[in-house]
Amino acid sequence: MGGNKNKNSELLLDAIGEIDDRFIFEAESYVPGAKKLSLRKYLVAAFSVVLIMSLSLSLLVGMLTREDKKETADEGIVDVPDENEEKPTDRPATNAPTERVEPEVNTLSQTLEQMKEETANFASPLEREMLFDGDAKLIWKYEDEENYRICTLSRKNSTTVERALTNKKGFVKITESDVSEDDGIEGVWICFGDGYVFSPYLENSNGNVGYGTLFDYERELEPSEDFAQLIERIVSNK
Amino acid sequence: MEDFKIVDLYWNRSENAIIQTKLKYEKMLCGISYSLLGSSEDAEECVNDTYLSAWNRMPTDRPIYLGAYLSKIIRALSISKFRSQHRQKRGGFENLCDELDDCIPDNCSIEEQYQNGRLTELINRFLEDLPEEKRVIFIRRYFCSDSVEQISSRMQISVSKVKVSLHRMREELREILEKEAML
Repeated sequence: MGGNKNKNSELLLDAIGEIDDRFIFEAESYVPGAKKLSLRKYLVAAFSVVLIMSLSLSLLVGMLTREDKKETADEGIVDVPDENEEKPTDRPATNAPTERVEPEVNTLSQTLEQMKEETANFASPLEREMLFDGDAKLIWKYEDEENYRICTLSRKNSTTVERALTNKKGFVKITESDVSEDDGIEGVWICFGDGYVFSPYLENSNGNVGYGTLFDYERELEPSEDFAQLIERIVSNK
Repeated sequence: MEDFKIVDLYWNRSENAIIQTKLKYEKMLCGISYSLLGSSEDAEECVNDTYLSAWNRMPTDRPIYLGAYLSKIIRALSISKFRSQHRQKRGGFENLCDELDDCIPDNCSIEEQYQNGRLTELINRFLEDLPEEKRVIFIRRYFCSDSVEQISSRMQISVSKVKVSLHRMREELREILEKEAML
């Protein structure tokens, strides 16, 4: 019994030796606490800024309205209804259920299609050297255009995108028949400036990750909505 | 040098490939092998065998993550070396096996699942679902054979947190094996 268990645990250890390469890569390149700490710090900082700004704004508004009141009272104009005083009574009507438009559920292709006009200045012919110039880039191509759209990524953004691509969390496996043929997007690629080119539509396996080549491919994955939103955020902030 | 450039050197049969691999990965490879074998001479031997194995395999293989690729080779070589040596000696390998005993459900064999590759598939899925930090702890312990103390200092967390995490993950893996692998 003990021997059998020991044999089983050795088999388990052997099986662990065959795990996916990306997990090993992740464990090798893991930076302790960086993500957690920076996120927490970022949230605290963002919250503090918002709090300070709203407090100072309300103080400023309060002071200004008081000054206005004082001036009008000094001039002898009484009974002038103070607009600012009335507002609070009006506010509930306007404030109550504020119309928050929830973002629509979008695929990566839909997101890029929606950004076609605003990213027109990214249009450029693609040259091989661009993939080796050390700058990470998000590249995509609309079916009806000759040029590619090339958006250079900051180091931080390229790390975020790389992490999302490596994890492929939420990416759904699809078959050829699931792919909408006319979504307007010919391809999307991420290049890390060292020649490596990944596509969010493909699994990171040998043959799918190349360098120096942008290839025609049949989609294997549908990127998650989070990934589409990440791309949207990155491109919009450019 | 970037991984893909080193891989190119292997493909071009340039001996510089080995030199660059040594520069970039020797320390990591030695660490993995030493943790399992507990002997620096044996570890060194395994590292050299790893270079040779990579040299022989590379014209066919084109690894994306060279570090991971080499880690797998040296791990397999070190385990095989340990097995071929005396089993009485308690090394890192034996300790790992003892710990992994916790993951094995009673009265069952996982040999079949291992043979058909299902066991690795299950482990991959189990890892996929773990939060990043836990996943790294698991891999550092059971793939890289790092000691609990090494993981604690590398990840800047307490030793007890590493121990508790590992214990819980072993329990989780055991449940998964019980539920799925035994079907």
